[in-house]
Amino acid sequence: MSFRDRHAIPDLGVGVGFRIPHYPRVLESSEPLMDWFEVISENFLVAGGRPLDNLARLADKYRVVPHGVSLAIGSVEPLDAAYLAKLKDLFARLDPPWVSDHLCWARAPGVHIHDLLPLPYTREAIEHVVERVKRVQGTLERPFALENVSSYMTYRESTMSEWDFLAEVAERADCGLLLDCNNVYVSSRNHGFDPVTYIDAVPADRVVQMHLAGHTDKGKYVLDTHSDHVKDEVWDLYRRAVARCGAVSTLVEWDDDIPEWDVLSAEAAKARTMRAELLAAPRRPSLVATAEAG
Amino acid sequence: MATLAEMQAVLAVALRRVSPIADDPELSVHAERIASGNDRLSPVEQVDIYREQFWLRHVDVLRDDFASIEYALGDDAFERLAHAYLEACPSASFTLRDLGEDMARFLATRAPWSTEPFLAELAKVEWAFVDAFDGQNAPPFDPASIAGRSEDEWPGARIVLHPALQRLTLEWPTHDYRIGARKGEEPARPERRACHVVVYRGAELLHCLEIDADAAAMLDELARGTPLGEACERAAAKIGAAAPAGSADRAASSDETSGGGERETPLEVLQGKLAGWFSEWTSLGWIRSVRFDPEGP
Ligand SMILES: [Fe+2]
Repeated sequence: MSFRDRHAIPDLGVGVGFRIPHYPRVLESSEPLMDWFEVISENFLVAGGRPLDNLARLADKYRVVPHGVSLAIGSVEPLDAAYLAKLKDLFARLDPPWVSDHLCWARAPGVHIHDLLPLPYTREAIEHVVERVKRVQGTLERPFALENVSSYMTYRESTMSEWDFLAEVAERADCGLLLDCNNVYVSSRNHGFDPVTYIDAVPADRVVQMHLAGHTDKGKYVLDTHSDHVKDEVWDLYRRAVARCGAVSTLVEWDDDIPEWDVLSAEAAKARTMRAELLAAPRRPSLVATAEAG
Repeated sequence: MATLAEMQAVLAVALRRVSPIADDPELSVHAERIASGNDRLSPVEQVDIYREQFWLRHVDVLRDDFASIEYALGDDAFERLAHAYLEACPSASFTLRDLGEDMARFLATRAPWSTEPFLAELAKVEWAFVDAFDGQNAPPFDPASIAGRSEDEWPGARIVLHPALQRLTLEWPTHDYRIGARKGEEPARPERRACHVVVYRGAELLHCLEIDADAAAMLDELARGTPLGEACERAAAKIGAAAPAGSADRAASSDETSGGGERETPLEVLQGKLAGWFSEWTSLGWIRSVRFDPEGP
């Protein structure tokens, strides 16, 4: 049975991030404007005030899935128990079908770097992350997914590809995956690998969500900026990912130079149409087999 | 062979360097042992991308939270402050929301900024807004909860204030300067003038209101959970110490009930204002409930 089936992970359709410039439009509209919303968990781990009021209003109307940025699953530093307790409390209020954070590290002794730093793809890192994912899942008691990050550096110590690393962590920790197609593309440009090879190697039945976003070409490298439309190359990867993984909840991330709601909404609509066309098309034999087995 | 712990330790140092890693030959060697680089970027350049992002992200958060200090110092000087602050007070929290929590203390104690106490006070006011923004909620005041209480129950009553309310005693009208700076009005540095302010959350926005010394003394006692009767006495003692009864200031601030021969004591002045304060502070949302139970706060 696939990870998605075991955890009854629903297909929520296509959503966007809940961002401040759109609060009035989203919260005051009497019509549903989007299939679902993602929120950054940390923005709502506060004592009270407007953030929590807004979140409650959003959750009254929409399915809300929290997405974390501070877990630092790959850090050597111990997991932050107080942070996990706060997350658990937030999740209890939202009751999301899954929760997620990134396959990265960020905490070091005495400091949180507040970035999504890549890990070396080593046996040691796999052992470390698998153990921690199990503990996080045991604590949160919810389906948990790891997102692949964009990266700008490579480690001398790495002994395998990122996709093999990701797949082994997911299989051994028995967790879900949040497949960010833009991150695959950004890293492929930065490190010179074939992004299609990556997409094809991801354990398809573990993908509970996909991300789409824009990036910025800085000349010598590509930066994951979430400040623009999704680029054509990333749409191509998304098509391939949907063909492999099937009906998976998709989210358009746009966090900087945030456009008018209608622009963002149109980007989500583009993903929705693309997804619907692919899902209506005859499935590839392997996917049919998976669906029947489930 | 470097372990995961060793790699993270080296990178955590490298990413928090203000200047490019290439400027430090020893650190460069460490970075080269960890990163592999590619045909466009050297190992040091790869790590430096993250270092640049670290500073951009952190300085941006401080700019947002302390916009009036950036205005007071100018861009370059603010960036120098941000660098010094982040080196001294790295974020240990899971959230960048807490990043600036030590700024007022840092400015008050670290030269050259400590020579200008106005800056530390600005940071205190800015941070009060951060805390008021997402501090705890409390249910609104329910007038029915005090109906029918007899007069002798009130001295033992505890007034519960909104938990997110911030009370500040300032040496300058820093709060006005902050608002002017944030609105782009280019305010001049104000003259020194003691003021008492309350930063609080309204239904929609954050507000800042200046209050007089009597109200401030009373609010501070209430915030401590002091029962109303004792709060009046303590606040009056504080006011009396600052401006003894019979002084020109005190006489001028008392109302028409002092028209007779005897001047009112600070306690009488304060008691006279109590009903007005109570209705004002409930309507502003500062007072959220009244507890008549005899147990402690
Ligand atoms: Fe993402």
